[in-house]
Amino acid sequence: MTTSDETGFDEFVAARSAALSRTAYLLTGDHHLAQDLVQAALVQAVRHWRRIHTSPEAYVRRAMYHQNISWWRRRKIAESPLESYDGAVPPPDTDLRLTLDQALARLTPKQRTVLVLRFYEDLTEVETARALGLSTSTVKSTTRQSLARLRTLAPELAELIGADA
Amino acid sequence: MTDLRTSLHRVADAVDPLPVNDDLWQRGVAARRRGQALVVAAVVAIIASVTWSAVLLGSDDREARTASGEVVEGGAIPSRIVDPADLEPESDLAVGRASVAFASSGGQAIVVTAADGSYHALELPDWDGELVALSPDGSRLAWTVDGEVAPGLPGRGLAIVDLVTGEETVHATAGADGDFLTAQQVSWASGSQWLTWSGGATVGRIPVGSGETETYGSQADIVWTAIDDDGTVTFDEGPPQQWPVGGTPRSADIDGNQLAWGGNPYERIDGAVSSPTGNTFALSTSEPFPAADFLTSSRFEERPLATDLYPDGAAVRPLGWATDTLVLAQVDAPEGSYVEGSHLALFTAPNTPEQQWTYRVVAREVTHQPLSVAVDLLPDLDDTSSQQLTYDFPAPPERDISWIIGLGVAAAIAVLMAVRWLWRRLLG
Repeated sequence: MTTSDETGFDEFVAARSAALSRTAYLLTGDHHLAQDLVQAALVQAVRHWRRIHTSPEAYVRRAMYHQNISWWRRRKIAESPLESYDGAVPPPDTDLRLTLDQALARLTPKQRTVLVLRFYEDLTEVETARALGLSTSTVKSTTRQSLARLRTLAPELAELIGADA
Repeated sequence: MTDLRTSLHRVADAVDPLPVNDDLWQRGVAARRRGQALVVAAVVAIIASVTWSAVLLGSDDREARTASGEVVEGGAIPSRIVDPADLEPESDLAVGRASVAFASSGGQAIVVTAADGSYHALELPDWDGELVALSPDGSRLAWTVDGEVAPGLPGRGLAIVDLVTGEETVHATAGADGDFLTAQQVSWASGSQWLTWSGGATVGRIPVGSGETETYGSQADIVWTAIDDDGTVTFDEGPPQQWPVGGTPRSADIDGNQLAWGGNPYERIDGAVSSPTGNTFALSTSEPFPAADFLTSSRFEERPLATDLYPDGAAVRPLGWATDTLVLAQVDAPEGSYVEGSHLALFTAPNTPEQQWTYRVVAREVTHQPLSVAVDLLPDLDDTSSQQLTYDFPAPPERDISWIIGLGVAAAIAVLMAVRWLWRRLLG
């Protein structure tokens, strides 16, 4: 039997899954992981659906941010460490999108998440800090480190990075 | 010029909407129920661990009383007699000479060993859960049996065990018609060599260690029975009767005086203990009364209780005779008495001139359960002994409970970590 809650959830998913997919991809850099991330966040939203009195989308997004960092922590333990962590990205791609994509993949999820929240979700430093449960100074320093790392990894992006740094 | 913000949007916009499973709602609801179940399980586990710790801590007090390492030469009656909660049952009955025996409120046969004051819950074979009676010297314990009274013969009886050797004998309790009956009352002779019992209209006599029993069928129900060191049984059958060894019962002839019987004025009487010489009987009452009752010198006598001690009287249940003139009794006094509730008292019988009467409370903290006490453990009262009437067996060194607390905390942490692990595992 379909309840009003379930109907509301289905409507929410239908309306916002595309936008959530985009954010999830930016956070993970992988389509499969992004799909898992969206679904895990949606399942978590179902568990607390009746208690979400504000925006369901804000809840799901926040769940994705935290889930992504949590997954990374577990993968970090299970998988081998990054190789040539600070090495430059090999042959610059002519496609800027792919280059940025590759460079983002070399950041830590925390760095990547902060950048996504700051420059894709357009959150302020205070809002980012609140969403991730960090201090504002941590967000500032992480943003600074992330951009510096992007410059190192993809020198050809220095111009666009510099515009925001 | 393209900035980082625009570039990120370009990357994101290139992403096709990702497929989402249709059963997310059902999965979420199932996960919610699992989470609730886990929370309930965690709460139950924590409550259980806390309760478990509390039980361990709670049992400490009982253990303290049962684990005293102090030994009193010759044994002593403890100054406190408590009704313990369940103790670990012991099947070896050779625990040594005892000072106290009783049926606990929890249905266990409790024996307190005389030398160290420790409590033992004995697994008495075929015990019906009713009577236990300790001999005055503390070396033997009798109990009512509902089971095998002879090889292959189920029935009712009395068993007697030597608490030093563990040797046990069983005596069937049957009426004149051969039907088994349950002994309602048991009374030891002061010398611990004889035992009498009564049930219905039958009274019995057992010479300890003989394996024999002798019975007499009365015309009326027998209310109380007592036996002296010669084996003479005195029992109540309307007028009291005396049943000597080798003879037949006849009207009580105490100290050469035929009892002038005008009916039993003491319907409150429900038990008796004979003095060593058999010339006085301390009688038991279960309701508060201003006097202790005796049968002596061919008459019933009321030995008044001090009104300043017991303004509303007291129920007096004699346990035995410390001397020919001193009775040890379990006294139960109502609220407002000098000593309220159950306690042990040692007082002179009316076979002594009134000006020599004494009354001493020897143990104030005593369970309400009917007791059986080895009165021979009381020291000589002629001022030649320095021993106290009872002994305050010290509690052993306080148990180090830090490991219990540590274990409880560790268990709680383990439970929480397990719940957290399960939680994360279920949430993927």
